[in-house]
Amino acid sequence: MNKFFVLVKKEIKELITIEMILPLIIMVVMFASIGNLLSSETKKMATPQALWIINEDGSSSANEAIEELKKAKYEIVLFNQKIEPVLKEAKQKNISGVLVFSPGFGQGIEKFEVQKIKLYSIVSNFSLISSIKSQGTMTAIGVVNRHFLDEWLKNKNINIKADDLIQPVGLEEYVVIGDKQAKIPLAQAMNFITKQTTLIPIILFMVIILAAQMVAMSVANEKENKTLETLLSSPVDRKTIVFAKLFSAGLVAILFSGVYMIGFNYYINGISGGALSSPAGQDIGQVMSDLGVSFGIGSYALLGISLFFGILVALAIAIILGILVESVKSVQAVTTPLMILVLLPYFLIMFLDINTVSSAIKYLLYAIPFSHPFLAAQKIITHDYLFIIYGIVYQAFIFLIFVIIAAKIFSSDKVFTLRLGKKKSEIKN
Amino acid sequence: MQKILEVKNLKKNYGNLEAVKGVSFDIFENEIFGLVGPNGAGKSTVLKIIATILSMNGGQVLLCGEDLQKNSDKIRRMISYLPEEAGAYKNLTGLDYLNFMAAIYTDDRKKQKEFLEFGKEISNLGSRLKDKAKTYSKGMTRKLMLARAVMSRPKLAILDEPTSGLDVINGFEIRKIIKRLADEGMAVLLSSHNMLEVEFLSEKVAMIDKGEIKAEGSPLELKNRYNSQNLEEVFIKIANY
Repeated sequence: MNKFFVLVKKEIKELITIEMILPLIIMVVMFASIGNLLSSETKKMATPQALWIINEDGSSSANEAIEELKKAKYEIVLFNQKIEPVLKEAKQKNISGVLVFSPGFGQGIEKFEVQKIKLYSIVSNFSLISSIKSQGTMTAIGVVNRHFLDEWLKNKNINIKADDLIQPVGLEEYVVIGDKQAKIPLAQAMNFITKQTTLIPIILFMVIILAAQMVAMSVANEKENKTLETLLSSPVDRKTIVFAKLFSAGLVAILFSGVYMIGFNYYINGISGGALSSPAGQDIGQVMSDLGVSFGIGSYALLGISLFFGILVALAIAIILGILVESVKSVQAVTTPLMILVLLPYFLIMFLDINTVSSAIKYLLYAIPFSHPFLAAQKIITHDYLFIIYGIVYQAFIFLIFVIIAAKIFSSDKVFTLRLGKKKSEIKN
Repeated sequence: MQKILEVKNLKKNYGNLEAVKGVSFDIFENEIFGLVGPNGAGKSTVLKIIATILSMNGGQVLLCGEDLQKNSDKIRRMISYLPEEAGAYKNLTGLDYLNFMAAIYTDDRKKQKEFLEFGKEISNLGSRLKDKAKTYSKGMTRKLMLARAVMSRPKLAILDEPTSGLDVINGFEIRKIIKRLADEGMAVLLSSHNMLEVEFLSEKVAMIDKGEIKAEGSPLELKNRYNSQNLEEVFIKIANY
């Protein structure tokens, strides 16, 4: 046991270097900064939006429309100038749009004639934030439309609200999960689940790839530097060497992923802050909990175990791949098939409904040990815990097979003679 | 003198290639035994088999009476192997590396300290031991590697091309250390294609070519037997080049 820790200490010292830590810190700071920036931009958008209006008409109808916009929390700034100087100023002050009520607007409305408001959308960049701001200006037109539709209906003695006329059939949404149901829009329920599970595939992908590359790189490095020959001729059990490598790479990968996760969390909270927030007055967390969709410690523990075995399988395969290469330069190429094996279930599960795909695809997915953590995230929602446990047992079985193969290779000549693309006879003697 | 190593009819194949074809020799304590031959002659393979990192296809290797095939774990405690052009772990300091290897060879803290002190003395790297191994020159790395190989005072040190690629000064220092260790009782098996170096270092030499030992004896015996000025000439004559 003592030698295991001696080896682990050495492995960790080799893995955690300033060259490794620096990009990690930069990445985390970058993601956290982007997240914070997006979050503050989203908050800014939630505050009353500035709307510049040129009222060339001056009629009571135009004034009514402006009052309605004020009620709808728009910060109205009125101008009596021509459009050009207003646009120039709007550009300078980063205003996204200018509305113009043309002469005759009020008269037309009173005659029940369809009128047009001119909207000048100022495009200064093509960012997502800019696009959302422009949509805010468009919403202002909707406010005006609803107001005049209400007015027209009143004048025609029709006792009906504009919203009801536009959408005479409303929707009362219920979401059913398992044997439980709750009154909540499907989109909101899905948004909640997405928010809870978005990080899982990202982390899974990152940890597996990072850990696999680390261990493959470690073996390739040892082969290239011939430190492996030194180590294998020393009084230490070969299996201990294999396990120390697996343990250290897994540990460092989990540590690094934890740090990545913090950065990503900031980022995702930043980009999803508005879109995934619950509507006022409704505790979505409670509603989802009533539906049985609660990601408690038990759920996360099951997910964690599935993820842990996914990492172990990747490590055991990667250590064998590391043996196959002659230099560290080849590590990237040799671990590519492993990355594909992780990416394939990620995309298939993201885009396909596992319950309706053909049996061939379903069993292919089940056969890939990296599918199970992705599937576990879904199965937790439907409370299919047995499936998750079977998945973990399957992953453990696959890990055992590969780790036995790795230990056997390390205990034989094959650790030096196995290689890709060269014949055994080419070995130096 | 005690016999440390006994190699009997050692054979090794790589697929259809017979890399070693029945090699036999003995090494005694205090002895530096040189295995010389051109590239691809089978020197490194013989050394790797004795170092327990390659298996054999035939023959027997005994170290202090212990059979390598039956007791490789026991043998690993008595030997130390320095591969050709071996490097250290790049992100460890020289001191970290010696510490690590000392802990691999023994769990006893007191012995670890002894190994470390001896390793520091042999490496003669002084304060540079606190620097990372990746900053070392080739000569410094080789000294560190040699220090690592002998610090546990093995019964047999297996050194593959110990001075390969080194300049005159570093090569001279390494040779001096090897001589000193043998004088202190260590048996040394070294391989080299530098016959002049082996002539200077070794009490006994085996000339290997195409997986077979063509001649064995002290450098003086071999030179007299083949009426040659030096071992290079001996080799050319016996190998019919």
